[in-house]
Amino acid sequence: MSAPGSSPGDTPVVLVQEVTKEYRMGQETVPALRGVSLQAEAGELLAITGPSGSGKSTLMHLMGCLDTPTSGQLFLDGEEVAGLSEERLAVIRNRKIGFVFQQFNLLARITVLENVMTPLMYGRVGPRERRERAEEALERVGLSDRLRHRPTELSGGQRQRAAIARALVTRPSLILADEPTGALDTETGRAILGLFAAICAEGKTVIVVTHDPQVGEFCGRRVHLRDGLVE
Amino acid sequence: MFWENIRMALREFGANRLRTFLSLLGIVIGIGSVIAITTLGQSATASVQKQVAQGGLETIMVFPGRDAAKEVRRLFTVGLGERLKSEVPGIREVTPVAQANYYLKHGRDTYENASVLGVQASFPGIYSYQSAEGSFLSAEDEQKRRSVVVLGAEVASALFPAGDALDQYVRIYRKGVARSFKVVGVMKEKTGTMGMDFDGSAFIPFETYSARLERLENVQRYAMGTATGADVLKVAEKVNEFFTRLTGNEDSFRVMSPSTIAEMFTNVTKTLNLFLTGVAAISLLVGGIGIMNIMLVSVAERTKEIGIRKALGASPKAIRGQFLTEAVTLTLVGGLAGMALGTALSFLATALLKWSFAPQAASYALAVACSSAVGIFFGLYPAARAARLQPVEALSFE
Repeated sequence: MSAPGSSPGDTPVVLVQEVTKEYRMGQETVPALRGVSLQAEAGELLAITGPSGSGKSTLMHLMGCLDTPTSGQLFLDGEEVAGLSEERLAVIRNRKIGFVFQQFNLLARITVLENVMTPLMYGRVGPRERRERAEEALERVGLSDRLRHRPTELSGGQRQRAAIARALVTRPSLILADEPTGALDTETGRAILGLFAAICAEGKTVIVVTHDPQVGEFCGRRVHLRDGLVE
Repeated sequence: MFWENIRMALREFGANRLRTFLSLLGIVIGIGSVIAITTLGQSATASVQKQVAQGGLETIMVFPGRDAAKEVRRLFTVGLGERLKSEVPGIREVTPVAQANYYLKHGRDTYENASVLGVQASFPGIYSYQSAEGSFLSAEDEQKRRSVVVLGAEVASALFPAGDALDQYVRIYRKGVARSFKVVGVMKEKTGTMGMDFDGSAFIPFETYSARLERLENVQRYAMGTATGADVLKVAEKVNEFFTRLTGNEDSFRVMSPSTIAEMFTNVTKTLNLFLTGVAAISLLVGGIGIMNIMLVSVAERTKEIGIRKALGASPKAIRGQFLTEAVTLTLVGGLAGMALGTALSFLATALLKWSFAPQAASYALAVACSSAVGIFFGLYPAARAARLQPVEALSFE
């Protein structure tokens, strides 16, 4: 497992080359991405913006190894990931990527601490270390006093912090955030973005997918998509 | 991850208690039947063996058939008993038996519904029945048609609470008329068997019975003791042949021995077992389908959760493991409830039937194996379906 900021300076954390993605809708094939290339370096805070239907979510799914491209190449930490098996992709998602979603996507039946421990369980980390690292991650996002709470007992901002702790706990090199402030009020959203900036400062790459121009402006660099192409 | 899976499963059940309970009924009944079958089967076998051992494996009884014609019935004479003894090898002792219930009285002490048996001197030898006081009826009592009686233990203590029965007189009432009999012996206690209630009986000479209590046209039954070491089933077969030759009709008499009864009982138990095995198999099948159904519902409802877990790095294998563990945990919970139910039922049944309660460790192992097998078999498809879900589609499920 890679330690924070361990990727060599000349290898981009994310490298997307001429990637296309088509969906089949009955007889027709609908292109969602029509040849997109981009790269993100370690410690970068990158925004992918664009209106709905521009393909930004599809791009995030591909970078997050939740889906595979129709054509083109995709490298994470220099490793080719297009065309890997489901089992292998699961390992990459677990080790290299942390996800943050608009609706937080915490598991409702278990406590905040157990939620944060879950990725480590899939990473086959021992129970004791799981707990230590999860507590550490929750402390990092300022939720040390909410370990035993259920997600439903937390505010929106706290839930998103818990989700960020869960994304950080496996020490991934890439954090993918899909509209992370979309369900939060402006002030709380700012605080979450501030947290992302701090995470970047530690050498991690954060890619935020958003349609909110203000969020885009906050990030260091913006990639704007329209109709499946980088504008 | 195994323990986490079990913990997650239990948490799911806790959140859906009613649904979990209902989906488990089939398994509970199925496993309950498995336990009941094996426990009752064992208990039945054990108690039959015990009864047979008590009754002495060596006795055989012959009755005239219910539908036997009068001419045939007349063949059942006292003399025939002697012929049986001399003509059928393996028979050691024979006695004709007459039996009816009477009201017995001594002074103010009474015993209602005593079995009064008219038998010959050979009777105690056939049943290994021992005297406590005095002696059993003699051949002379029989020849001279003496009015003497030997009392079973319970009858003796009811009529003679002070224990001074010997040489006293007991009245046997028939249609309101008392007949007086002198007590010549009291027997030791003996557990009843094969329709014979020794302790609640009184014994008088067979000829006296016919002369003083009830005029007998024919012998109601013969009791025979077989020679030590003889194969009772074979001797019973010979007795059967003897009577077939005598009456020319196999339906005009019945031959019974503890061995044949045990055999009959084993057959009944086998049939019962077959039936209960069928019930168990069907319940487990139905229960398994119930489990599959509830697991499919669970997978559908938790599509989003599966998507989240996949995003966090759960492999298809891990997801399959989670849902398979959930199915097996579910059936094991059902299995445990079934084991409790089956144990309780068979305990009650054995208590009612006065059988010995003999739960078998092996049957509980079988129950655990059955419930796990059902969980694995019927959980496999829903689990595979969960594992196959596409992460993107699962995540976008609302």
